[in-house]
Amino acid sequence: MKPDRLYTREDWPHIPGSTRRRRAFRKDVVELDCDVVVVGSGAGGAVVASELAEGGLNVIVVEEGGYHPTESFTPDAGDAIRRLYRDGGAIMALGDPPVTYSEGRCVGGSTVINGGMTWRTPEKILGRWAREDWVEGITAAEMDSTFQRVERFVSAKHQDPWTVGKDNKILHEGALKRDWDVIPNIRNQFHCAGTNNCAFGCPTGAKRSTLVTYIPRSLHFGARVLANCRVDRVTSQGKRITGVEGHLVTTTKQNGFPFRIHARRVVLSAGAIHTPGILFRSGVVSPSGRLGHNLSLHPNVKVTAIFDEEIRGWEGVHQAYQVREFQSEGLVFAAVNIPPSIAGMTLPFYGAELRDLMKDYPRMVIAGMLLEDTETGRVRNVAGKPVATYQLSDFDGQRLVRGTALLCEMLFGMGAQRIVLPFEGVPDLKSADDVKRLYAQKIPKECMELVTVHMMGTCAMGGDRARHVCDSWGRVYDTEGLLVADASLFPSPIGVNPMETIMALATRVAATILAEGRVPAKAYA
Amino acid sequence: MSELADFRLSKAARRTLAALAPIVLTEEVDELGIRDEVVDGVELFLRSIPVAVRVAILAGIVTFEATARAVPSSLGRGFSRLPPELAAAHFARYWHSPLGALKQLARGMKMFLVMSYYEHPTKLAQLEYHPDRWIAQVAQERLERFAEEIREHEAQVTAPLPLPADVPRALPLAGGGQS
Repeated sequence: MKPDRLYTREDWPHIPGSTRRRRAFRKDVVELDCDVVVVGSGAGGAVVASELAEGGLNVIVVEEGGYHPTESFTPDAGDAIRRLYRDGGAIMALGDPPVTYSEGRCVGGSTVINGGMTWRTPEKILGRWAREDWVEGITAAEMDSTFQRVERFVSAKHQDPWTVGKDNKILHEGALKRDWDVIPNIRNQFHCAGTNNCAFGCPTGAKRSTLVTYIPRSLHFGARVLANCRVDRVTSQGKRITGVEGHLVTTTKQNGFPFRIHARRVVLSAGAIHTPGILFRSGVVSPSGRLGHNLSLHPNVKVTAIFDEEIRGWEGVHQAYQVREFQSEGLVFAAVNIPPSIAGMTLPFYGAELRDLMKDYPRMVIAGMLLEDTETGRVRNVAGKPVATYQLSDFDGQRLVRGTALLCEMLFGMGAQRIVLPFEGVPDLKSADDVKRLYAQKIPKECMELVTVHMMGTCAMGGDRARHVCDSWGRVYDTEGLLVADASLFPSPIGVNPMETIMALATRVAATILAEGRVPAKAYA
Repeated sequence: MSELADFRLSKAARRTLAALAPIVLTEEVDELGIRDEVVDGVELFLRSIPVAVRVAILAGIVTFEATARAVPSSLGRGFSRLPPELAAAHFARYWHSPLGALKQLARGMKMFLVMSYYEHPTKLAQLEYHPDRWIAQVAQERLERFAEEIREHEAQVTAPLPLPADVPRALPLAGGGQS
């Protein structure tokens, strides 16, 4: 059953508390009022909304995607991708090679489709942000209570040991065998059953996404959530923000009802691609000239290892462990089972070669690697839509090859018979001896198949208006009442899964708004 | 509730994809009797992607069909009317093309067909891939084992817990960065 105060397409245009302004020859505009409008309902938006609603403010959350409750989640990957992912997951940061990225577009945002890793920002990263970007109140000690609060709400815990599947056990044992540092993941879960359906919506609700934590909390404290609503632009009078305008998302070519929400403050939490997109469309100019710059991606590659024994990677939790041995080099490894449709889609074969390989699907261990990248890309506005460009550096390319080789060595050490590489045109590996050749081989980065779900940094925060788009508290420089609360704020990549960092920064943004009170933002400008 | 665009594949595009299916997925697609359903699945996926990308892919499919006519051995026939070996050779030319756009088109068409094929219940049953059974089993076990804890935990979701004073925040009138 749909919760109270959460409105979907079917509820339009009769949204309680709204007025309908008639316009000649155009569709009526639905107008609403509130203290704060939050754009996006993922790790940033839901947290801000919940904290502000509990703090007594009148909050409206606007989410472009639909409302899909836990009961609707199944292992049908295709259906989930079509319903829960932006643009069917088929978006790329343009470059050579391009990087395919995915983001959630549903109530709960990317927290509904992520792997559920809940890691604090590494201390060295917080230190760097404080030192180099002059971010205030960001040291590990200062952030401790904020992290604790987030961890409590999302139930950040180690996995129950009996839910770990065979693919993860192989990764764990393989790392231990080589005396590598391997740690159990901290995940936002409450007695996760190990369904391995994280990326397609947790069918038990054990993964504590914002859909089942911060969103119900926001609604409980009086916030309203408008699903299926796209924000076109932020409205303003001079530098003072007055609200947002947008339209109901329909399934036809025509836009649905236009809406206008009047608010004293606007918090953008649409992610590192779409938050700058909205700012560009709204004509916001950063004095730093850095809006949309500084895009980091944590590029991922994966290897597919075939074992003699049956693995059945779908039985057991997603990413139970992380190999942190090479974290100082910016590399983190994990076992990441994916369903046959996506495995088959991404393998570099077709015809009989693909068919024969896919027969081994139950014997596959799919292992992935996250790279803390050193190069940055950019988001630009092209015909009203944000377009990302990103060029992998030679240095990062070399590190990806080294990481892949290390991962393959470990998998052969555990009995892998064949490994399919994420480098097009490079033959599969059949033994540990082949890995030695991989170390020596020069692999052009253009042939690398890169994916990511960690987009960061395009509205970087910091204490220098000449270098940063937002101040330490997410407030956009040179505007009044406009804030950002998502991974756009990161001044640099963090080298671990970003959800908890986003949630913690969003908590700070909410605390700042509450400290300012209900008075118009310009009083503090 | 549907999140999908109101879009249908043209008959011509369906013909091209149907002809491509046995090349990408082997004759197994016909042995399982699901060729048309695989093309339906591609259509479903195309409904979820942005209009601009969809238009580009459809233009690519038209190009792929039409360029087969330029090959002398095709005797002026489009891709979907070629005999199997010539059709396979046409796709292989795209797959191995030095031109990035053609190569990407071949990969794109392969991805859509493979995605749809390996989502089909008949194919998944053949692979003995039954995650639904696994999910049902472990979800039930979780409920039986932790029902009380889960109830208590769910009740905590909406319990009041105001922001503590030690969460870092900009102080009013302290300026922050908004000068």
